[in-house]
Amino acid sequence: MRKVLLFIQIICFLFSLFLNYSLINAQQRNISKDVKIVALMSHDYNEYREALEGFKEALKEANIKFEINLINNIGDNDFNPKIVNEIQKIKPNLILALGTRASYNANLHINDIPIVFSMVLNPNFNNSNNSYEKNNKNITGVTLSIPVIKQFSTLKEIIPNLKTVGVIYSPDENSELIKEARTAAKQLNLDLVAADVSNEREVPITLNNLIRIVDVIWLIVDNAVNSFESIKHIILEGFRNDIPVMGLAENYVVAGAAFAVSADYKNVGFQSGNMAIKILNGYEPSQLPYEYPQKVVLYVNERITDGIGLKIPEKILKKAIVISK
Amino acid sequence: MKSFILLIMSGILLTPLLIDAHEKYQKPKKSTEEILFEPIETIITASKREQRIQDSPSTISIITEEDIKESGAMSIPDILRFVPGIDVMQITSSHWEVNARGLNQIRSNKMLVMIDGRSVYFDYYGGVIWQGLPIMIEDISRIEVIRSPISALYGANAFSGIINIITKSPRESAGTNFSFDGGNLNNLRSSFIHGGRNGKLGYKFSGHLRNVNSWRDHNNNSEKRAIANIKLDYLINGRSSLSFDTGFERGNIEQIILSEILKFKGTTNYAKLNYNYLDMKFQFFWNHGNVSSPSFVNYGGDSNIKYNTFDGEILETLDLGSKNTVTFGGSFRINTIESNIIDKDHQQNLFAGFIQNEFRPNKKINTLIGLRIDNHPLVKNNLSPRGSIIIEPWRNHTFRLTASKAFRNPSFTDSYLKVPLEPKPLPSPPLPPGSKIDITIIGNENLSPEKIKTFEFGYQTFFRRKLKMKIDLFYNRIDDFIGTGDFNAISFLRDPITGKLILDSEDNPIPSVLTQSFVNLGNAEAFGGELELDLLVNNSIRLRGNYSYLDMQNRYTLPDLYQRPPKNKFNIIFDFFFKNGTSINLLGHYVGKTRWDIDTNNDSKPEKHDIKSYFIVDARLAYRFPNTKMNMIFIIHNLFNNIHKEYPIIGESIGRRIGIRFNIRL
Repeated sequence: MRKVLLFIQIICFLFSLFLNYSLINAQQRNISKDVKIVALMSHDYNEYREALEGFKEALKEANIKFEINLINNIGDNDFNPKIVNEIQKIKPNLILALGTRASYNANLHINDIPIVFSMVLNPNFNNSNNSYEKNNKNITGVTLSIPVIKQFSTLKEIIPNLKTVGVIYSPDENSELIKEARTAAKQLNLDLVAADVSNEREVPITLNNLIRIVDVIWLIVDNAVNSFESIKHIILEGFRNDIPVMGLAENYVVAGAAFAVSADYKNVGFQSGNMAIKILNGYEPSQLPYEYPQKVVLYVNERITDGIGLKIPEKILKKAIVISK
Repeated sequence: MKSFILLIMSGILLTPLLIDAHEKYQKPKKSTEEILFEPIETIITASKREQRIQDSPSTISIITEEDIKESGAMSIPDILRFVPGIDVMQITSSHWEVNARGLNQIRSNKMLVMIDGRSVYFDYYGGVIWQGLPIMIEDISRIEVIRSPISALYGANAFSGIINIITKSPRESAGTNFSFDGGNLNNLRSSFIHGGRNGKLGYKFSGHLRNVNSWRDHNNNSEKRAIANIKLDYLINGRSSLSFDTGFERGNIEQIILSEILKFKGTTNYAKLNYNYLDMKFQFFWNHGNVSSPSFVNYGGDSNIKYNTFDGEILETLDLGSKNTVTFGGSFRINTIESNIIDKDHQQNLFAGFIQNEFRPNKKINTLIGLRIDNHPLVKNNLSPRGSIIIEPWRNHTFRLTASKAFRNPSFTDSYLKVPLEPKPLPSPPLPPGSKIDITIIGNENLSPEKIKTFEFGYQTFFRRKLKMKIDLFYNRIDDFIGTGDFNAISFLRDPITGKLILDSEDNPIPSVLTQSFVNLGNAEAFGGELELDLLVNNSIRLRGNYSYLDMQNRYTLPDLYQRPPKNKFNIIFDFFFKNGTSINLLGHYVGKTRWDIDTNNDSKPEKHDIKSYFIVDARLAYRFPNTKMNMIFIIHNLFNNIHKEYPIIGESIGRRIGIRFNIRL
C-alpha cells in the first residue's frame, strides 16, 4: 500500500512538472515567432525614447524576440492615410503609442490591432468624442499621472509638519482633480486650499493671498498655471516668501521649484512592456485597466530648500536626485 | 464731459459684441505630458541672486502689477503716493513732483528715476517730467522704490533714492491688450499693447494717447500726448541674451517754472541695448529731447532745449567661494545740450567705476560694502561709500543697519544758465530818463555737489505669514544744497554827463546790472521713521497701512528757514476680493501741514506760505465680465471732494476725479 501511494505521488509530481513545462512552452510557442511591433512616437523627445528603451527591456527580459518599426514625429496633426497604410502593411502584433498625440490617433484610426499607450498624462484624450473611455476595447497602457494621494504622501514625508497645501487651478479643466485632492488631503489629515482662476492673468493676484496661508504650493497641469509667466511668478513668489513650490517634473526643479515628484520614464516604458507581454499572451486590452507609474523619482533643488529654510529629512534626501547646491 | 458720456455709451454698446466674440473663443485643450518635458528658463540662479526683500541692504518697497491695478491709479505718481516715506505733490493736473523723506520741491531733482535701468531725468535740470515719461501704466510689471541714498551703486542723482519702473517683457505681454479710460477734466486715455514670441525672438509693440484738462479751467487743455514703444528680446543661447528697446513721446504738457504755468511742446526719443552673458551685463542707451516753451521768465522769446545723452555701463558679478560675491563695473555718460537758456552749447563727459562686496559669514548674517567713484568735468571726483549689515537671528525676523553717502552733481542749469529777466525801469525823475536795472540769472561753474549722509536701522518680520510688519528709522545730514543766492551788482548807475555814481537816499550806489546765481546754501538735518503693516485678514480681505514721521531742521532756504516738509503722513488701504472676480479697494491718504519759503517777486525775499493738511479717499470697483477677457474699472479719486492744494500760490485746487476704464485682452 505504501509503495502504491508513493508511486501515485511520483506520478502526480511528474505530471505537474509536465503540465508547467507544457504551459510555459505553450506561451513561448504562442510568441515564439518574432513579434512585430509598431512604435508611434508623438515627437522625438528623449523622454519618449527612454520609455521605449524600458519597453524593449521588458520584452527582452521575457525572452521575446521582437522587431520594432518606429514611426516618429506624429506631431500635432491627425494621422495622414500614409501612416495608417504603413501600419496595415506591417501587420504588427501590437502598437505601442508613446505620448498623447500618438495614442489619440492610434485610438481613432486603428481598431483591429491592440494598442498599448505609454507616457500619456491624461488617458481621456483631447476632444473626447473619441475618448479612451468610449473606445477602450482596443487600448490600454500606463499613464504618467501620479495619484494625488501618492503626491501628498510624499509631501508629508518631505515636510513632516505639513498642514496646508495650496493649489491654483481652473475649474473648467481640473474640478475632478481637485475633488480627488480634497479626498486625499482629508485622508492624510491635511488642509487643501484650492484657489480657482479663469485665466493666467488672475494667477498673480490669487497667489498673493494664497501664499500667505499655505505651507506649500502644489503645481498641477493646468492651462492657466502652466505658462512660463505663471510658473515664473509662482516660483519667484514662493522663494521670496519662504514657501516651497512642488513642481511637475525635473525641469521645474532646475528652474527653481523646491522639489518635484515625477515618474521614472524608463520604468513607465518597462511597465508598458509588461502590459504588452500580457496582451501578446492572449489578454484583451479591455481586460487590463490602465496603470499608474510604479516607480517615482523625487527631485530636490537643495539651493532653494536651503534658501527658504526647509530641512528635508535625511532619509528622504538620500533617495532623491539633488539638482543643485 | 461730452467725451466722457460718449465713452460710457461706447462701452455699453460694445460689451455684448465682445461677449459674443468671446463665446466663439475656443476653450483651451487640456494640457498634454509635453509640458513636463519642455525646458524652462532658469528663474532662480545662484549668481543672479534673487533676493528676498528682507535681505535687501536698502529701504525698499516693491509695487506689484496687482498693487497698481488695485489702486486704480491713472498716473505713476498716483501710485507712489502710497509708498511710505515718498512725498508726492500734484501741483497741476499734469505737473507732479516726487521725492523721498522731505526733499520734495518744485523742479525736484534729487531722485534717480529709471525705466528698465535707463535713467529718465533731464540732465539739463536733473528732474523728471512725470507726465512726459514714455510709458503707460498697463505696461508696468512692477516699480522698485528705494528711499535710501544709493550713489554707491548708481552714481549721481541717486541722492534721496531710486525709482525703477520695470516694464513687462514680451513674454509677459503675450497677446493683445486694449485699454480705454475716460473721466472728468476731459481725461481720456487709450492704449494698446501687443506682444508675443517667434522662436527665440520676443517682441512687444505699444502705443498710448492721453488728454487731460486743467483743474483751474476745465476747458484748458493741460496735457495732450502720444507715446509709442517697441521692445525686442532675443535668447541667443542658454547663456546669453540681447534686447533692444526704442520709443518716443510727443505732445504738450503744462509745467510750472518759477511762478508761471508754461506749456511745453516737444518730443523725446530713446533707444537702449542690453546684452547679458552669464553674470555680465552690458547696457547702452541714448536719450534725446527737443523741447520748447514760452520764456521761463515771461520775457523774451521761447525757451528751447535740445539735448542728447549717451550712457554705457558694464557690470560683472563674481562668486568668490560660497560666502562672497563681488560686483564691479564701470560706466560713461556723455551729455550734450543746445539751448538759448544757457550761455552756450555744452558737452559733459562723465566716468565712473564701482565695486561692491557681499560677504555672508553664515546663514544669519549678510554684510555689504560698496564704493563708487564718479568723475565730473566741473566738480572732479566724488566718492560714494556704502555699508550695511543684515542679521536674521531667527527666521522671519530681520535687522538691518546701513550707512551711506550720496551726492548730486550740479545740473546744466545750475552751472551754465543764462536767462535775462525783463529789465526793471527806475523812476525818472529823479533818475535820468531810461534808467533801468538789467537782471540776469546765471549759472555757477564753481558749485560743489550736494551731499547726503544717511544712517538707517530697519526691522522686518512676518507673523504667521498673515501679518507683515516693517519699521525703518533714519537720520539724514544734507550739505551744500544748491539754490539761488543773493543778487550781485555788476555795474552801477552813473550820471550821463558827469559820469559820477548816482547814490540812493542812503548814499549807496544804485545797481544798473544785477545777476543772481546759484550757490551752495546751508544744510539740513532730518530724522524720522516709517512703519508698514500688511495684514491678510482672510482670502477675501486684505488690510494695508503705513505711517511716516519726519522732522527736518532746514538751514538752507534763505532767509527765514521756514520751509518744512510734512511731519506726519499715513496711508490705509482696504482690499476686498469676491469669488466672481469683482474687487473693491478703498485707499485713504493723509498728508500733514507743509511750510514753504517762496520768492515770488524774485527779490531774494521769500514769503511764507502754508499748505494745510489734507486727507483724501480713493475708491475703486473692478468687475470682470464672466466668460470674457474684458474687465471694467470704476474709479473715484478724492471720493469726498476734499478740495485742497498740494503746492501754494500757483498750485491748482484739486478736487474729485471720476473715471471709468475698460480693459480687453485678445
